[in-house]
Amino acid sequence: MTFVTVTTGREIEGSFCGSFFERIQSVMKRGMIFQHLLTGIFTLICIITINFLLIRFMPGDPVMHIIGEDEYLRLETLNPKVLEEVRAEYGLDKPILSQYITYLKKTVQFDFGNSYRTKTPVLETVLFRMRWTLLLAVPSILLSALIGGSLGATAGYYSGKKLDTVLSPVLMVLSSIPTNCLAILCLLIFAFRLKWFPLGGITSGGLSGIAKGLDIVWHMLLPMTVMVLFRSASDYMLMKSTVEGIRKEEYITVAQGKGISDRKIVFHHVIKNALCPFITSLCMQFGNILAGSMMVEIVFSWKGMGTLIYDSVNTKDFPMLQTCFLFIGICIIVFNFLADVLNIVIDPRLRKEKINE
Amino acid sequence: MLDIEDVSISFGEEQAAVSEVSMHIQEKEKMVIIGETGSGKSVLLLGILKLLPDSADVKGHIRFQGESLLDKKKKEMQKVRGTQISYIPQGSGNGLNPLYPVGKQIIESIRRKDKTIGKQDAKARMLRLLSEFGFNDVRKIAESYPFMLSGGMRQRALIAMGIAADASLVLADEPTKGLDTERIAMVIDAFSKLQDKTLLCVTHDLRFAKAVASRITVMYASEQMESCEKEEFFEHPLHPYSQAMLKALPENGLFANMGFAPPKSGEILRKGCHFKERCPYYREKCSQEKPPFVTMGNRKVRCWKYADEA
Repeated sequence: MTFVTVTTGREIEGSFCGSFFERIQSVMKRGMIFQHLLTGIFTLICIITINFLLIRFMPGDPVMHIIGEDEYLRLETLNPKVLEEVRAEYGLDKPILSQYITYLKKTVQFDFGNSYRTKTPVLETVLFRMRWTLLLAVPSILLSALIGGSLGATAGYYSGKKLDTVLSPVLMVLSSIPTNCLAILCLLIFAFRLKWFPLGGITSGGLSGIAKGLDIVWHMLLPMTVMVLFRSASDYMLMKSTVEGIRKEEYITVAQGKGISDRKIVFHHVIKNALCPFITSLCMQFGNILAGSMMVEIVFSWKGMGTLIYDSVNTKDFPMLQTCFLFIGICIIVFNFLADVLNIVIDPRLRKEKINE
Repeated sequence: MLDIEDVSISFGEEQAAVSEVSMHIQEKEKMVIIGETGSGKSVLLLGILKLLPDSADVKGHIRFQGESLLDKKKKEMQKVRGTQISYIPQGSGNGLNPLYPVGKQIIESIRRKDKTIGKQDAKARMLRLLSEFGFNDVRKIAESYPFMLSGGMRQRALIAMGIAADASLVLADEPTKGLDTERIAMVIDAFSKLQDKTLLCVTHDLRFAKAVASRITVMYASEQMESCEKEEFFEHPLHPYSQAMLKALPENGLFANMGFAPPKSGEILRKGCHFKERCPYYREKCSQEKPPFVTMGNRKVRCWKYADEA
C-alpha cells in the first residue's frame, strides 16, 4: 500500500506556482474578481444593516439592550434623567435614518461601544479573545486538511482496498459523533482519569518565556486533538468521495493508458481536479473559524471567541454579541470571496474563456 | 502481432460482457470491430490494456508480439502502455483532463517515450504533431483547454496524443461518436495518417469502418458474429446481422426491417444464438444450441445457416 503524501514534486509545484500569478492577473483583467468583490461588499452592508436593525426592532426598549437590564432598572427607578441622557448619547431619540448613518460611521471607525458587563471597549475584548481562538483553530484546520486530505485521496484512489475498508467506517463514526460529545469523552478519559492533560483553560499561570509557551501548548493539545479528529474525518469523507468520482472519469483511464505511474496520475490528474471542492470546503471552515470551535472551547473552558459569544448570550451583552457577529460575518465573506477566486484560478471552465471552433 | 484467443470478460454477473472472442491481427493491419452499443467492444479494448476495474474477470489468452499480456504484472503492463500499445478514447467524452491545456497533455505522452527530452524539444514535437493532424493555429490549440475545442478537434488532438509516444499498436474507441459528417471526414483523414501503425478500432459507424478498415469483425451481444476482409464484408456479408446492417445504410435503401433491438439479457443470451430474436433465417436449432464460429475459406462466421454446410 503506497500512501499519497501532500508534498508534491518540485517539477509539479514549479509549473503550478509559475502560472498561478499569471492566471490571477488574467482573471483580474476580465473583471471577474471585481464582480465577486462587489457581491462580497453588498453582503457586508446587509450584515451591518441587519446588525443595526436587530437591536432597534427587538421587543422592549433599545436602551435596555444596550446598557443591560440591571443598569436599566436601576436608572429607571433611581435616576430617569440619566436614562434619557444615555438615550440621547446613543442617538436613540433621533429618527432611524440618522441613527443608521451614525451607526455606519461608528462601524467604519471600529467604534463598537462598551461591553455593559465589563465596561471596557468591546473591540479590545473581541480582538484579544480572537487570538486564542485562532491559535487553536488555524493549526487544527490546516493539520486536518493535510491528514484528512491525503488519507482521503489515497482511500478514494484505491477505493475498496485495505485502507478504504479499514478507515472509512471508523472515520464515518467519528464524523457523526457531535463535537461536544467527543470533547467531553476525551476530557473524561485523558484529563480526568489519566491526568495526562489539564482539565481546561489556556495557561496554568505564573510562568514566563519558553515555559509559558510550552504550558500553552500543553493546554492546547487536547482540544486541538478533538478538533483535528473531527475535521480530519469530514475532510477525509469529502476528499474520498471526490477522488472516487474522478477515478471513474475517462481522462484517468486515458492517463493510465499512457503508461504513467499511479503516483504521477494522482498528483497531476486526480489531486488538481479534486482541489476545487476541497478548497471550497477549507475556505468555509476558515470562514467559520471564529464561531466554529465554540463547542470545544466551552468544554475545555478555552477563553476564545466561542466562550465569549456563549457568555455574552447568557448575560445578554448585546454590544459584544453585535461585534462578534460582525466579525464572523466579515470572516465568512472574505473566505467565500477567496474560495471563488481560487476556484476561478484553478478551473479554466469557470474563466469563461472563448471556445475555439 | 496481437493474438486474442477465446477471450471472455465478465463482471461477476451471469452473462459475460465479452464471450469467447478470437482474432489475430497482423502488423500494420487495420482491424475494425463493428457492433451496437453494449455489444462488449469497448470492454474488449480496455481488457487488452488491463485497465478494467478489479471486478472484471478476464479469461483466455491475449498475446502481444508473442508475450502474454494477461500474465504481465502491473509495473510491466505500465511499460507496455503508451509506448507499445496506445489507447485513443472518443473525442465526445471526457478523455482529456479538463484542467490542463491540450499541448501539456500531449507532451506528457511524448515524455513517456523520451524521458530526457528538453522542454523546447518536447514542445516543438508536440506542435509538429498537432499540425500533422490538420490543425492550423497550433500554438493556440496547444494552449487551449479541452472544453474550448469542438468534438472533432478533441478527437484529432486525442489521436495525436495517442501516437505521441510512438506505440506500434493503436486501440481506438468509437472515434466518430457524436460527430457530424464533416468532422467524421476530418477524423478519417487523421486515421489515414496512421499507415505504419497496427490499428484495432471499435465503432458503430459503418462508413467510417469502410474508410479505415482492412479487416472487419462484427460483434453482437458479447459475441463475435463474423470476421473477414473489408471488401468481402461490404460486398458479400454472410451473417444475417451483417446483411441487415448493410441494408439499413442510406446508399442501400435505408432498409431496416429488424425492428428495435430486444434487451440483451436473461433468457435470450442463456441458450442458443444471441441473434435469434431478430434473425430472418431463424429455425428451431438456433434457440437450442449456440452456433460455432466456423471457418469459411479465409473468413469466419457464427451462424447455423453456414455451420451446417461446413
